[in-house]
Amino acid sequence: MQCLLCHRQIREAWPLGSLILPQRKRISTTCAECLGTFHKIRLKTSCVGCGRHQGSKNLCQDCQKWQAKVNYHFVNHALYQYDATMKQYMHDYKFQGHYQLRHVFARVFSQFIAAQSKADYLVALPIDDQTWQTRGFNQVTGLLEDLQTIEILNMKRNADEKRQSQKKRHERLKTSNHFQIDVECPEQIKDKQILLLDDVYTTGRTLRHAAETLYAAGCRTVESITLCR
Amino acid sequence: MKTRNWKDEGIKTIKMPTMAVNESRVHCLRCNTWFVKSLVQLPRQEFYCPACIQLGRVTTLENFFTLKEPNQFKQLAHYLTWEGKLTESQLRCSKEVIHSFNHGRDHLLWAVTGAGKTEMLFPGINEALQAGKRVCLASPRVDVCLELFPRLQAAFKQVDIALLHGRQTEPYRYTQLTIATTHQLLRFYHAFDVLIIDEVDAFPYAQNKKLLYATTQAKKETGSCLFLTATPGEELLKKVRQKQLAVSYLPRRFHGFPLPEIQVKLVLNWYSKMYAQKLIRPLKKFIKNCQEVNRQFLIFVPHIKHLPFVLKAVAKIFPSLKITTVFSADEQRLEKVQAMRNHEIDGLITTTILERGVTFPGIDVCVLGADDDTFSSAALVQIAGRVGRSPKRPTGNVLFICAGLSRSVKRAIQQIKFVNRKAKEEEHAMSSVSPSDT
Ligand SMILES: [Zn+2]
Ligand SMILES: [Zn+2]
Ligand SMILES: [Zn+2]
Repeated sequence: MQCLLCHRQIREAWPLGSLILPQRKRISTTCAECLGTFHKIRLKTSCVGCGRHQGSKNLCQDCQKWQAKVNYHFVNHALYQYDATMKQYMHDYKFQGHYQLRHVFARVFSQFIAAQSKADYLVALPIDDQTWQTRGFNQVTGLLEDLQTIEILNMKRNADEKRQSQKKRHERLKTSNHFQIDVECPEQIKDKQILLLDDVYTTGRTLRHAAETLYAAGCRTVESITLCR
Repeated sequence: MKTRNWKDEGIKTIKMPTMAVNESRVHCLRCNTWFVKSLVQLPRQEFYCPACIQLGRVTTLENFFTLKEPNQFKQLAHYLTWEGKLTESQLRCSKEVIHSFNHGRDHLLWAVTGAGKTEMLFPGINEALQAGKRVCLASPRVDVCLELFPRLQAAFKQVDIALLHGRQTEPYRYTQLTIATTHQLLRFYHAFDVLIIDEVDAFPYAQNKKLLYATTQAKKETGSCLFLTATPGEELLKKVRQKQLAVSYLPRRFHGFPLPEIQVKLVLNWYSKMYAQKLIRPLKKFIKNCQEVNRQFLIFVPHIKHLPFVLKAVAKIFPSLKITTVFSADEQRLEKVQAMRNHEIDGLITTTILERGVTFPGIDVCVLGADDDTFSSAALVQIAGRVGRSPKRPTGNVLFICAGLSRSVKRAIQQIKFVNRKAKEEEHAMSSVSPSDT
């Protein structure tokens, strides 16, 4: 198997046991050197509000501002730091549209979610119709392996409005909410615990819009997990 | 400049599929790669091509748009305004190239580094423009395009030239002469009568075939492609052997001297010896030689990790020598290169990054571990080509130190010997032809 990122051949270590006991070993898609260039976030040294990598567990400045502004519960956990190598990866995966690259993180991300979650429902943030037309895939669901998500949110944006990623920070924070609830029977989500899933937590604006929409529909708690922060 | 509106001008665009999908496989029509369906599938029954994604993604979500090339160009009184003179071999090559252009054939121009191949192109471009043909000059590297643009504009003062590369924001203009990166070429389908691709072998070897296919799609079926290179790869040489490609040689540098030939010294374990701070004999002799006549030098090593201990081993024996190391991500790279140009330092120990573009007149070059995988034969020929660029010192030493002769080392030696033989043949042929024949 060739490494998805550097295209070199991956040398698989086959433990002796696998020769005796036939078991399906998962084939690696990314070599150890390449994986080593991404940096995981540790709980002990990250903001309890948004999962940002920093010196301590204290609430970071951005989160303190959010706390002053909103009156509902919302926290985010993240698996990786959104540093230069991760930005490059996201560029290739999401903006260049290299869908195969989902395999680089799909397994670890799904395991991370499964280990953290006590929620009733997992909800991947949706993409709008125009993104379906051009990108052809939802980058969040691409990153999920064997996890059951439900589609209860819709995303609608005016045709002439910029995407979140094309905006400056202050513009992003001012964006209006484009999420709508899409369920046949509202009872279905009443009083439920929801875990939102997204690829990147940048300002937290989009995720909080989704949370507000869900709280308005009667959900009990809404939290989120992102691949990076 | 105004952008051209195709609708207003009544030119028809044609919609074409980007990928062909059958029962089990998908075929990218841009780069000609086949895939098992499931591997390249997007949700909702769409497909994309990972093979040529570097050039912008091809998917079944879109179509290619193409237009019947109208060749609507205003006829100018003069195209070529350049008044320089070509050498006899440049002139001969340019005639051979024009012949291929006129017959819609593909052509390879094998020109050694420092032969003046750009000037040689002028007559061919001139004839093509006069005949109302659409011409494109493309290179894989942005900096080459940026350097070519002013030179071509100076040579064809009245011609409107479009420059296309990824870093620019100007909208696309329809022009008779275009300079573009090979990435940008992929926006064109059957558009050019003459397509010139510079530095074909700057493509990484594995991708070469794919990218060549993709880029040549930009030329009309009746058009011709001219490949320029100092170190042709297997793919092109095969086509020459199969007579699918005409070939011209520009084997002599503008100052008329042959390429310095490569000397090889075999040293086992140069790595561990140098690591143990023992300066290996051939390298010691090489540096001593340079020092005695006060000549600058470059020492190439395969990897960044070799730089510190090679520097230490050299500095131990030659404490008075002013030398330093440089690599691609070096923050002081530009300063160090400038210091070398200003003769403030005697030599640089470096990785492969200086192999193209950077010239220091009158240097000697040594490659430590020339048999390492990182050095392709093209890279080795380019490195050897750093030597003897100055008319003041058209010769020089090229020393390869390696444990054995790798395929790349052998090919580099052969290629240089081959062009030098060609240069001799040419000299002989020219001296036996009377001036009236040429
Ligand atoms: Zn890798
Ligand atoms: Zn925070
Ligand atoms: Zn392709």
